[in-house]
Amino acid sequence: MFVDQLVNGIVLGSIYALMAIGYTMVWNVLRFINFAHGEVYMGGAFVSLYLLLLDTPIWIAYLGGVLAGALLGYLMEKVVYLRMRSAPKLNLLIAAIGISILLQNLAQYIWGATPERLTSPFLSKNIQVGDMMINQHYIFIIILTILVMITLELFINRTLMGKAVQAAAQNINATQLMGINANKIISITFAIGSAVGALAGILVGPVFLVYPTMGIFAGLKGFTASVMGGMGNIPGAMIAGLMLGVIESFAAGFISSGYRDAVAMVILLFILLVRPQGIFGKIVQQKV
Amino acid sequence: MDLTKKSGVRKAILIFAGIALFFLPLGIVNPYFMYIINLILIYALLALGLDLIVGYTGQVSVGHGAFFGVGAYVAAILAKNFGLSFWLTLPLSIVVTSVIGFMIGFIGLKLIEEYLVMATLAFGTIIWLVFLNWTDLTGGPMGIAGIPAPPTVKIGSVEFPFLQYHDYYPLLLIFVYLGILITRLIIKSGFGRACTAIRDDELAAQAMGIPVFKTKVTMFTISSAFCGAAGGLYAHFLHVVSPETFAFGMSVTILTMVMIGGQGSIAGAVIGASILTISSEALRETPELRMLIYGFMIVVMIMFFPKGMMGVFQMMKKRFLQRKEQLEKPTVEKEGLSYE
Amino acid sequence: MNSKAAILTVDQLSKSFGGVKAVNNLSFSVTQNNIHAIIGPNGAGKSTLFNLITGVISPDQGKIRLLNNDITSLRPDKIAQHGVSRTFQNIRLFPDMTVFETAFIGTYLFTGGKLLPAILRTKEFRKKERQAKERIEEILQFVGLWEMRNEYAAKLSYGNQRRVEIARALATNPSLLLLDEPTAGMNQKETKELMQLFTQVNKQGITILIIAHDMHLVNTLSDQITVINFGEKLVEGPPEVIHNHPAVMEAYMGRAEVNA
Repeated sequence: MFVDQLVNGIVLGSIYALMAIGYTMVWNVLRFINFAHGEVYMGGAFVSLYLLLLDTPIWIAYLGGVLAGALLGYLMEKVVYLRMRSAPKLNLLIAAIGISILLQNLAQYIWGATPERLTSPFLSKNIQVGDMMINQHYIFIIILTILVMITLELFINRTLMGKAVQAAAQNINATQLMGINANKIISITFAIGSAVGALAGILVGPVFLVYPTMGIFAGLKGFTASVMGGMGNIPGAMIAGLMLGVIESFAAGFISSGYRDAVAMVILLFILLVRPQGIFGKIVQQKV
Repeated sequence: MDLTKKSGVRKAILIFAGIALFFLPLGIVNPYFMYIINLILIYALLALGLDLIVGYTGQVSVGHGAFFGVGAYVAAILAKNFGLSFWLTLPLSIVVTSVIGFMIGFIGLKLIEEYLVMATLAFGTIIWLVFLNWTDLTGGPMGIAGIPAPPTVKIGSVEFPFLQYHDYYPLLLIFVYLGILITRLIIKSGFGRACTAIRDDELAAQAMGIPVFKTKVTMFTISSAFCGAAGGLYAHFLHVVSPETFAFGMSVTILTMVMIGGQGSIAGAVIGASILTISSEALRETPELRMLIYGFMIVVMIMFFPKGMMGVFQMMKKRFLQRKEQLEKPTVEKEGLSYE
Repeated sequence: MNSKAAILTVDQLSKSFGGVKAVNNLSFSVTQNNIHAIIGPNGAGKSTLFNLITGVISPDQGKIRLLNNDITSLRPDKIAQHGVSRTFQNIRLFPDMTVFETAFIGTYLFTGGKLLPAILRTKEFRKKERQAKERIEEILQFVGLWEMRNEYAAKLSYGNQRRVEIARALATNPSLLLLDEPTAGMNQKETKELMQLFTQVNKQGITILIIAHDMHLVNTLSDQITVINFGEKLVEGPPEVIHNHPAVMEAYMGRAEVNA
């Protein structure tokens, strides 16, 4: 029972961690939280679902969903946020809310509101670990999350582009002075963050189903993890995501199922109240 | 001065129009139209409330639909379970929403603007789950029905009942006027100016001695109080409250009203409420299309007309006046500056 | 040293950012009614010093005292309450406000932010609003912006925008005014006019602490100069002394010309 909850928690936590990465990466380069990030998660899952309906091989369908998510994030930035660089932050925030509502309802308009299950090659198989059975798809989620994290870590610390993204996190204007195109960095950040978010959506698709508003809670929980980890702190976001998943999984055992989703919300409000700068790092304040 | 005389005339016209509006039901026979007009007034109160925090203080909330719900449910529960009359449930609705508004503001306004968005979204979710699941208190998915209308008011021998839509209208109108008046009084005060300064440049505002956090939280509390009032009025108007009314979509609807009418403008809030109430009635059959349009409108307005329709009007008016001025007298450029 | 008392005392102040010491064990004091200049090359820690004094950031060590009050690490609005007002290096106006409205924000400490009197429009409230408006008229006349009071502040010339900032700062009724590179980016005429304005402000009994790059401005304007470099105090004294000091010539003058 305990181990069961723990595994569930880690699976949930992996998803939250993947979501949190998107928020935190965009925050680093733009000092802005992309409120529509949850819709990338939803969009990626829907595209995968749609591709599977067209009898696309499953790996291609998954990949297509991830790429679609990256494209969606890229387009959001190019079509809307880029044009609002000089606008007050309030406007940017409202635009993001608008995009989120637009995409949610567009998905509902196209695909309807009925939840559907994404296929997974592993869902029907279990693995025996000790004396308990773990669904293979869960293992798949955990392994893939770890792979993504390692890849991201390598990308950011070992590649030139990754270093540029890091420099942009310090100071986007300085990046420009170094001869690196800041807009390109921002685009790449959006695309990568969104690809990871879409992957999260695709990974939960076989377990928690795919529906137009699936991004709201996932977005909020990913955001909670990014706040817990310290906004802008990528490793922090990963650890905090796992923590949140495990906490939520155990807490859910104590309360009625109707309030299950409230757990993360209460945690978010609590974190914002007592430690808005996060557990692991400091949020960078505006420079005078 | 010429200016005060002009504004005096404007004031007189506004007061006259304001009184004339009380007689509107005389010209409307169809109760459905009256129902729509009453809804517009309730939404106007909500939009005014949200505009206080979005338009005048520069902080975004997506929880105002939930505050509206708290107001409505408090009134409903007090009226049904404790038999309190409207005249008691309404102030209590306002008090309860204000207290919750204060708490959410206190939590969400600490560090960056985004935190308020997320805190209000989290709060909205929690409260929605409470409406849905605390069946003993809230009636669960069915909600609460049979909320009584406000008791008839007697002034001398004249009776003012509130049973019909036609009767309820003057009551709502009074509250909207009250909302507008309070908004104006707040904006045109040191506190209101402090809010606008925070909206425009927080750091500069703080350097002028404005306590930023306290001012924001206070304004957020007032803003939620408006929703509380609207909620109480709504519950006693429709006699029914149910959870789906106060889901996330309601918060979005109110935000869209403010964005379309024009943030930071009283007239804008009222215009936005009117347009959206009417259009959402027209789109009643296709709710998913409605929200799709709202989302699209929010993005388009904020990108191209961030001050909404009022901003467009003002721009047109300014252009017109400039042209007129240029035709009337060539302006003399002042050279140099003198010190006293 | 001076018969008059110090209004601001900075005592062994230190602040580092990620290992870099922006301000290092810095001590100096500003005498009442003086115009006191802080000069130093780019990155010497001048703006950090201002942000420390005005409470935008907190020091790692040291004390800041205003007359007899310890204002170290107080919130910016609390420090403003103590009578410290400022302008910003990159002019910070309110984009949606006219000149009058912008300056009017400075009267917040006088009118207060109380809600109930505002909603009830009490006699006291209306009196204060009226007085505040009169005061703003006076200030705008003084800084030479009264004619432009209804124009959007952000649309004025650079020099006039700076005046709006100064008007707003004066409206808080400060005893100490901090000016962060107030003439940066101004042409000669604007600089000269602003210098005259600073002298006028000073004559009203307001102590001025000014960060400047322009040596000419500093020499003609200030009573006392503190030269800092790498966050530390290099020299301090009246302009004549500073002007001929070899250390200053070496550390600052040469580079200042390159920067100018």
